[in-house]
Amino acid sequence: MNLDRILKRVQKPTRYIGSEYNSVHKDKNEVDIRFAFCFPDVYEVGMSHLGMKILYHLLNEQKDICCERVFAPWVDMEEEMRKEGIPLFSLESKSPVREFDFVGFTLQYEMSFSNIINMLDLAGIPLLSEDRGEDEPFVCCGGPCAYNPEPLADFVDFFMLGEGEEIMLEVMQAHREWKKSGEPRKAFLERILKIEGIYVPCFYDVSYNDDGTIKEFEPNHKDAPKKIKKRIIKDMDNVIYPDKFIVPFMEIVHDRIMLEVFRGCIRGCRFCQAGMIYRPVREKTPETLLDYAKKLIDSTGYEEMSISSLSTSDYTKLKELTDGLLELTENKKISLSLPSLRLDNFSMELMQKVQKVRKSGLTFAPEAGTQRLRDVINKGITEEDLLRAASIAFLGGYGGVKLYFMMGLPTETREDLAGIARLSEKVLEQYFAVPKEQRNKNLKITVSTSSFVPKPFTPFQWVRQNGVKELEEKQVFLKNEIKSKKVSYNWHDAQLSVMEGVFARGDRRLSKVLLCAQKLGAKFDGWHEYFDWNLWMQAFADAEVDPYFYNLRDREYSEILPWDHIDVGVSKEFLISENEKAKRGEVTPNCREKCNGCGVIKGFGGGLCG
Amino acid sequence: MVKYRLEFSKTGETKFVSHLDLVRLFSRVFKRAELPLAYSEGFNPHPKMSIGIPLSVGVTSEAELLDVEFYNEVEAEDIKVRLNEKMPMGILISKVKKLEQGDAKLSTVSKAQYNVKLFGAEITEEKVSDFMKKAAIEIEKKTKRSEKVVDIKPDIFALSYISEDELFMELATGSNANLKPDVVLEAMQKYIDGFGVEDYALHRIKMTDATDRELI
Repeated sequence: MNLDRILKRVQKPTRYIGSEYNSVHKDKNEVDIRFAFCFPDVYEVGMSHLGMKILYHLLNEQKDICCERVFAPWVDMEEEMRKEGIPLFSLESKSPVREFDFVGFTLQYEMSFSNIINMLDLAGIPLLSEDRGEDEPFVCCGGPCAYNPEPLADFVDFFMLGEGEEIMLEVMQAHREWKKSGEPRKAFLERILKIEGIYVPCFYDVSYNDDGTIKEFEPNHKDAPKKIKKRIIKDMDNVIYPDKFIVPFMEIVHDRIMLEVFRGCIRGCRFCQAGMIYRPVREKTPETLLDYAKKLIDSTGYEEMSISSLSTSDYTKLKELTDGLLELTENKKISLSLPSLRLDNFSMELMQKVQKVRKSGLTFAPEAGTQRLRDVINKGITEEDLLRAASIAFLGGYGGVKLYFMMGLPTETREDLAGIARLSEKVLEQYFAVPKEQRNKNLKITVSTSSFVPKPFTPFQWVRQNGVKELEEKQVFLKNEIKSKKVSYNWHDAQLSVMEGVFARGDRRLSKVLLCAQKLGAKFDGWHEYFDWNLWMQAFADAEVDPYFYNLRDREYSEILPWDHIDVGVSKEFLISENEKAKRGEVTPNCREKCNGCGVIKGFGGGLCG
Repeated sequence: MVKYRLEFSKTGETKFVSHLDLVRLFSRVFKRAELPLAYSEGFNPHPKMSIGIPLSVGVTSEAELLDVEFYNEVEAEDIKVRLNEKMPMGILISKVKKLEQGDAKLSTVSKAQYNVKLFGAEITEEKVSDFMKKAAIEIEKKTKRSEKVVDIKPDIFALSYISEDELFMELATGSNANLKPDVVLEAMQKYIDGFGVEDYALHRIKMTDATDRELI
């Protein structure tokens, strides 16, 4: 392979070299199973993903398994590879991906789907599951977007639902046994049907009503379960966690040590898929975390450490943990960052901890502009919370504050949008209330809006999404409402959000659209500069599928949803009741205040929800 | 504070690691090796370390130089062993020297020697010496604003034939004058009839000051 010559011509060649410190290199002749862990985005994005670090470590700890990394080559590299006839390869051994036993993709966002198809194409692996021969790798997927696996159903041999630490090893064990048996390819897929959390799309049939909705979704194999239950790890202190992270040569998006403090979230914001699908809440103890932190500091030499969870300040032993971490980091010139802080328990003490070594900007997420709408989405944060937190930040010497909001939420009115502008003005007033000599001279308030995308397994999974025009009008409206020059406003591409909305709640018929889009050259659709709305419209036309069927209509509770065969633990009854409460503007207390009976305890046994 | 000078090689895939990334890599290696790296004072403390003459991306080397400051003294051999244990594949410390007052600064580097391997090209001894006999070797140098013609001859201290696909070069390097081996190859293709190169591998062998003295 003439890689050397190509690497001299492409941007950022260290994306492709793979001999980073702590990367694992095994001899392919000395292992039984080769797993290509594929992240359908460019190196610096994929390498920032904690799940990949965990599973890479998990698989490579097994003596007879070799896990290697694969990323989507950037556009310049892909062009060179296609020109030179170089197939998609793994970083560690530069082996063609097609040689591996498993080709596993992690599904982090819908807009990476086109990259998956494109990577399979670049690997020379038949795109459709049904076209793969006996010696082809098994293509599998996991990650949050696997909870609605249907748009990828035609491409993927099997999905692993939920947390991967146990299920992956069970699948590997099944592979060892299957290999010994000498059975045909299909038999492996039959074997893994017995593993909880495995979904094999080809063992299910779908039929449709005249109006396009699903009529029936039924298993066509005796061992295929009617409902597939996600997997969770019950004991967070004894689950495997890497004591080494690969230290990249180039700067990656999250270039630091990450400590996962807990899974799940007590909050139950109604728009948030993560808050529902990762339930129940399970914490790691500070002792466990400090032990990882120490090992990771020693093994990486990183200059920054961050805590990872859905809502850092909800960690019950945050003080104990941050005190312990500061002891480890301070004299080693390691800065500590605490992302995902909630406004309602943001304190001066917490803020000072974050800035002890280095001071960065602060980001708050009120999500909606009025109390009414914040109640609808169950954000549970008040204007006072925000203003108090902003005041603490300005008093503490911060000048840059970012405010995140969503646009296009259910029941939203112009008043709610104008409320975003009013709120940012009030934050500005907090700055001017701080004495001149005490405040940071570089004041910058940034208001950012994303467009709401209804997601499966949330109380809003039935609601209609705003269309492109509606969203763009709202963006212009808000832009005009923000009068102060000290407040800058930026917004997400509405077309991208709408396309994300189509795939988020799509069904199997979208596989054909993805196939057409790949032929038209779709790739890196999560990247603004490569996302091409017209290309996608053409792909939908070619596949004879109406995109708006999936997002521009309200669904009835009685409709069979494409993801109804997946069980995340949270019951449909709970989601319905939450949606009804949203309509009435009623809030639901967080899981620590009161158990709201979401169903996850019933599904996974009590004693969780820590 | 104690200062040290390190010599290291950068080979294999690490030749694609840029100068800036290499600086970050070293600051992490010092941390992993638990060496008492000194930091600057101020708001954003950074390690007191400098890598001599940046090596172009794509070029391998066995003679890179790095100066570093520690809070306290560590045995030179110990530094070498500890760093090499924590180094990614492809980078290896070959020498460590404690710097004394009066030792030459890295900024006195003014010459570098290269081995140049040619792919898809053939050269003869005669052609090389004819090339070097030219009174001037002019190339077009593009800057952001304009293009100008410069004579690179004075910056070529040596260019010799090793075999039909291998050359040796000694070129001006540093802040006063800096000539890269690929520019010389470009000039050769312009001046020597029938000489074209498909690809090449560049390797830095040595860096010296103006009087041919090594700095470590």
